[in-house]
Amino acid sequence: MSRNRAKNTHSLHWATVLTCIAVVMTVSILGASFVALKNKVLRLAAEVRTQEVDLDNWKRRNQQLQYNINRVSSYEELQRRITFLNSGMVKIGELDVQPMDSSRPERSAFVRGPTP
Amino acid sequence: MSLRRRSLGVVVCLSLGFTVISFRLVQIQLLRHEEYLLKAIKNHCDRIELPARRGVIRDVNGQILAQSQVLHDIRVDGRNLLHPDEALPEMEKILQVAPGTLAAAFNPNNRYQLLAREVPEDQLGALKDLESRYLTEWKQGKAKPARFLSVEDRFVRSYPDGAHASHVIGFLDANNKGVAGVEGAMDTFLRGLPGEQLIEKDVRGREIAGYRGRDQKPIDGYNVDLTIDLGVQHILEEGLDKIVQKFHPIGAYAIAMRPKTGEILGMANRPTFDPNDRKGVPLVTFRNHCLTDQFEPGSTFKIVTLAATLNEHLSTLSTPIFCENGRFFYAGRWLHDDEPYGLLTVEQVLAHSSNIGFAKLGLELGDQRLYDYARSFGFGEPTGLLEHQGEGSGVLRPLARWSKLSATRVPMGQEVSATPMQMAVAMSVIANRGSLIVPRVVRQITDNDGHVIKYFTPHVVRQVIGEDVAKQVSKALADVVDEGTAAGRIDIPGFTAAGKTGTAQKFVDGAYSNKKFVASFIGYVPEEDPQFVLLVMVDEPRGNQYYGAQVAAPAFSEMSKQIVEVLNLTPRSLPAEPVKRASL
Repeated sequence: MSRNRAKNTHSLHWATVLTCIAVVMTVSILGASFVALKNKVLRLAAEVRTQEVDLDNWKRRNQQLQYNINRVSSYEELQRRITFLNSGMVKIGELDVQPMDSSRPERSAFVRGPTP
Repeated sequence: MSLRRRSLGVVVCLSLGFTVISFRLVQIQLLRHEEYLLKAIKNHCDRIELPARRGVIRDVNGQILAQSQVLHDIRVDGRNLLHPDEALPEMEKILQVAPGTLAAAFNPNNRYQLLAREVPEDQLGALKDLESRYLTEWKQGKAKPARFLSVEDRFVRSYPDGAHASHVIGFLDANNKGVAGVEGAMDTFLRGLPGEQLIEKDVRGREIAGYRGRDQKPIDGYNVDLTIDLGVQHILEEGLDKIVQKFHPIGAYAIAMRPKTGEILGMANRPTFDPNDRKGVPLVTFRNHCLTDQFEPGSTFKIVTLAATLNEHLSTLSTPIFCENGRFFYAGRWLHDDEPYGLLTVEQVLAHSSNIGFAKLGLELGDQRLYDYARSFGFGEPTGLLEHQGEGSGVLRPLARWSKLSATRVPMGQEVSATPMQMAVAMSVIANRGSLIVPRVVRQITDNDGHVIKYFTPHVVRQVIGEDVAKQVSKALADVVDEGTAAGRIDIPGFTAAGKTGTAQKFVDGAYSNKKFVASFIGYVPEEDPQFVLLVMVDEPRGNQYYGAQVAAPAFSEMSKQIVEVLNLTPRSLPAEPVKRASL
C-alpha cells in the first residue's frame, strides 16, 4: 500500500465525525431537557398538592367556624341563653304605646330658643 | 484462541443473555401481563373517594335548620410510631380519653389501626402538631421517621334547633341518605356528587402528585330554602307543649300556612323527637302525622257544605232552616244537636254548628254535588306537599258506596276522613277567596354561590267556589268567632279572626265513641285580608274538656296573637279600649 493510499484509507472523515457529534449532542440535550422538565413537573405537582392540602385545610376550618356560628346563633341556643341570663326584659305590645301630649311645644322649639 | 473465536464467544454469550432477558420480558409483558399489571396497580395505585358536602336546609329568613359538620376518623400506623410509650399518653390527653386506653389497644404491627372516631377540628389540629413535633425529634435522633397518623373525613349531619320542625326537616339514615322529611324528599339535590382521585404512591405510600391519573373534585350539594318561618314554628311548638301539659292528649298537631301562596309557615307534631338524638324514639314518633294520619274532620268539614250550598245558589246566609228542636229522624236513624234549635238562618246554623241544619243542607245539595265539591276542596287525594312521606289521601268513598244516610252525615264531617294538611288546605280555599292552592314547604334550591337552581312557584289548582261566595262563607266564619261556638275564645287585639271549631267522635270498634274525641279549630287572621291559616288539632284530649272550642280555640288565639307579631302584620282595627293620652 502506498503512503498516499494508506493516508486516504485511515484518515478521519471529519464531516462524519461532526455529524455524529451533532446527533449525540442533540440527543443528549433532548434527554437532559426531558429529565429536567420532568423533574420540574414533578416538583410543581408536589407544590400544587401542598397548596391543595393547605386550601382544603382552610376551607375545612372555615366550614367549622360557619358550623359553630350557626350552632350558637340557632333559635334554641339563643333561647337557652336568654333563659340562662334572665335579662329581665318585659314584653310590651305595640298598641300599648301611649302618644305624647300634642299641646306641649315641640322639642326643637326648646333647642332653638325663643324667636325674635 | 484467535481473536475471531473469542469475539464469536462474546457475541454468543451476549446473544444468549439477551435471549434470556427477552424471554423474561415477553413472559412479564405479554404472557403474564394481567397478573403483573394487577400487582403493580395494587402496590402503587390507589383510588381516593372525596365526599361531597351535603347542602344546608334553611328557613325563610336564612336561619340554618340542618347542616353538616366535618368530623375525622384518625388511624395510626403502628410501624411508623417509633415511641408509642411517649406519644400515646399525649394523644390520650388531646382526645380526652382515660389514660391507658389507647396504649392498651395499640398493636405495633397494625398499619391501619383506628385511634379515634368523629374527632373535631381542634383536636385534629392538636394531633397533627404533635405528629410534626415527634417527626422533627426523631429526625434529630438520626432515625428515618415517616408520618404515623392518617385522617379520614366524614360528614355528620346536625340540626341546630333540635326538635323544632323535626318532622318537616326529617333526618338521614346510617348511609347519610335522606329518609324522612325534606331530607328525604330533596335528597337528590342535597347530597351532591362525590369526587375521586386516582393516584400513584411511592414506596412509602406517599402520593406522587405528578402521576395523578384522575382528579374529579366533589360537587357539594345544593341548599334548600324552606317556607318555614322559625319564629312561627317556635310559636306552634310552644303552643302544642302547653296543650300537651294541660290536656295530655295522645297527639297534637298545628299547621300555619299562607293562603295566598300555599307557603307552610310552620308545622308541628306532638309527640316529637330530636333528630340529633334518635336513639330509643318509637318509630311511630318519626311519622309526620300532619301528612299521614287521617281523622274524621267533624264540624270543620261544614265549610265545604256551606260553600257548596251558597255556590249552587240553593240558599243564602239569611235563608231560614228549621233545626227540628235538636232531634231529626232520617233514614231510620236519629240525629241530635248539642242544644235544641228551632228556626235558624244558614249563618246561625254555621255559628251554632247545628248538625241537623247541615244535614238538611246536605239533603238539599244531593249526593253528587256534595261529593264533587268535597273533591274540589281537595279531599280524597294527597296535597302533594312533600314526596315520599307516605302522605295520606284521606277517605272520601265513591258515590256508589254511599248509603241513604250519607247525605246527612257527610255534610257534618262524618263518613269522611282527612289529614290535618287537607283540612288546612280546605280552609285556605275560603281564605284565598275560592282558589285552591297547592301547599309548599320548599321555596327554592340554591347553589353555594347563591344562584337559584330551582324556584317553586305558587300553583293555583282550580277555582273551587266564586269569590263572592268565599267572602260570604268568610263572614259566616267570622260570626262563629264573634257569636258562635268560638265566641269569647278568640281574642287577637287589633285583628279580626274567622274560623270553625270541630269536635269529632272517634270511630272505635265499629261505632262512634262517646269518650274519644278529636278537638280542632281551623281559622285565619285577619278575616278581611287573610295572611295566615292556622290549624290546631288535638287527638283525644283527657279530662272534662274535649270540645274544639274548649281545647283548640284558646290555643289558636294564643298562637295567632304571637304570629301576627312575628309576621309584623299591621292591625286593621283598633282595640275596643280608647288610647289614653299622656304627657311628658
